[in-house]
Amino acid sequence: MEPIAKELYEYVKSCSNSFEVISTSLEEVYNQMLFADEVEGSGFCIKINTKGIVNEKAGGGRLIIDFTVSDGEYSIPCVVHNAEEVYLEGAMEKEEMTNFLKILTKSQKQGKRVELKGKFINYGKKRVWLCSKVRIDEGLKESQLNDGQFIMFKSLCKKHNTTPMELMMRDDTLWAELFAKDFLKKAVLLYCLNPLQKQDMIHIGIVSSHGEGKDHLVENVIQKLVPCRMAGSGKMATIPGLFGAMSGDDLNAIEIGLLPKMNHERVAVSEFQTWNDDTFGELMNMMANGKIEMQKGALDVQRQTVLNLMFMGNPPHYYDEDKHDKKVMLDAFGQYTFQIISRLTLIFTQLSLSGDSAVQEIRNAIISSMDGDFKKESVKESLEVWRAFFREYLRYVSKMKPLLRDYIPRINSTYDEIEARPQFQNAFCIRTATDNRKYQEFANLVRAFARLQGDERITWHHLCEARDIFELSLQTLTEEFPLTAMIEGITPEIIEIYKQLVAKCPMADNIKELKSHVKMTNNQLDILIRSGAITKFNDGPMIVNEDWIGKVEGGEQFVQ
Amino acid sequence: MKIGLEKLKEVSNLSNETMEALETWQYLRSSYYPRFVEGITQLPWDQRFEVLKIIHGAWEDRGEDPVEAMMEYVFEKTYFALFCKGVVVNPNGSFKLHNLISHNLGKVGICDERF
Repeated sequence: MEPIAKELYEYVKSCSNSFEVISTSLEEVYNQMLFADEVEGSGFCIKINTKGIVNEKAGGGRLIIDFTVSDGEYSIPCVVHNAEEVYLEGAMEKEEMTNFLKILTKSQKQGKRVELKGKFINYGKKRVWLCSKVRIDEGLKESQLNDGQFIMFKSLCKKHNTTPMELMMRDDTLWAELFAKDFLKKAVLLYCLNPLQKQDMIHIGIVSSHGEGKDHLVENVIQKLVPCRMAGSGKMATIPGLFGAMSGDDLNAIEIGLLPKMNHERVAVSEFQTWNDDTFGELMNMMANGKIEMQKGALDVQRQTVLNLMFMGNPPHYYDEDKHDKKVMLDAFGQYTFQIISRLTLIFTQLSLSGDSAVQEIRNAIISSMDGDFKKESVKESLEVWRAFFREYLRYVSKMKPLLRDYIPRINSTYDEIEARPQFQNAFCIRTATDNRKYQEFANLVRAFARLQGDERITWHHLCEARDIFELSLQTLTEEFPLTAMIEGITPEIIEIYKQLVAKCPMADNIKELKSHVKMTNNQLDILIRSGAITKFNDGPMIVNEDWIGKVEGGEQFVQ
Repeated sequence: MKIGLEKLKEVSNLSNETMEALETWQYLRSSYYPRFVEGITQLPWDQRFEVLKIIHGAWEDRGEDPVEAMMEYVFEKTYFALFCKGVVVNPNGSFKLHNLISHNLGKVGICDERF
């Protein structure tokens, strides 16, 4: 690997030194609660209450807007009012109050983040944040990289015969702490773009063996580069926690969930195989439309969730690489597997993400991490410079809109060629002549590669990158790949029920008899019948098919 | 190999092809063709001969050993001559690959084993 040109590094360093560290939380506001200094913060309005003030000192017909803002971690009680100064300081004019109310209502109903400024005062026995300014934060923070810096950076890249993407993929810039293959690096960089609208979202699925460093990837590469929150596994990731929920204390308040909170940013899901079907079911709308809708009491709330999701997990415990097809690795998505796959832009189902030949590189990275090599001043400084620079670079290029229109004939031809392959149709269970969602995802990939390179115009290089990674993803999913168990939502529990049925009740006259031997829900019974584990005859009797388990474990195709 | 927009315009003026078609040829030459060579050369010559013959479209067996004749053809004109026969590029830049090119796009491509 050739060293990076000193001129380029020095320029990047001068840019990153000029960037400020800006926080978009309410932590700073919360920490100022004991003092009366002016402070700024941003969050979501989760409750509004407009009240009349009944006090002679306040003046006649005066109002107070009592509202709460939250960033998902801190909730701050706030007020604005138009009472006389003798009653309460910081009064507002009518127009200002109306503007406040409009913005706060928009924030509560549409999940828009608001930026507020004010200071803490005592109001009665309460300590409240008396706000003086409010404005809607349209989501994506402005990049601190300015046009001049961007152009200069691009020209320096050209001068030194490199590209922004090549720099971002180097092991001495963003990937010092983790060894990864190029396809994974590219997928992660795509994921690190900020989606501005729903068509920009890039969802990625990674299913591989345990110990492949998936969490390490999030903690030491992604989270150090861009804002990214981890969703909990299994029962720790509740629907209210992810999407938001009505507050038990106050029915007018809707708490903010993790997904709306990370609007225009990204969320990673570790050990997604521990999630239950219900959670995936709720996610489907969000993954496709970039918003969630909630109806609680009189409130009909829509929250923006335009964000990139990354699902990381392991294949089911019964997965055997020699026996099973690759799709069995995705069983963990349960009954919504096809719907989720359709919404994933890229899926990598590989037991080993880095390949057998990379053992030494991986071990070196582990030892370097344990020895604290990345904390040594010189290395640490260089890593921080690149991370700070590319954080702003990614924000900057996420706003670029290279037009696809001029390139449509080539994009269409490339996509048509991939889509015509039988494996593609098999992988995505295409029922119609064409899959519009996959087409949109492919076109988005082309544009995303142009953005990563900081190019205003789409070229065949971007198309080539998009096709390569799209095909590679498809290949990991489709090798030895018939339709199987996952369609039917076959889980380890279903297999256990089946085994008990074979042992205790291979034939039954009716459902009641079957259930008397083995406990199961109607849903589980339905899955067993649909997948061919149980054959139900029209006149009532049922037979448990002994060869079914062989088909599941051997990865054969079910034909209904 | 990167060819600038100006160079492409120059070539477009000299030939009868549109800029869009030329850019598509650039894309196919740089991206699909190496993969096609990688894919096709994995086939044993007797199978490769059959595939190349179909892609050629108007191949007439020549000499005593038709496979050797094909080898000579490839040696003289390279696989690119055959690749070009299996590709249609339209003036708007869209293109269509012969099925057998599509199915022999090397290890990254997804090959249908029926072909």
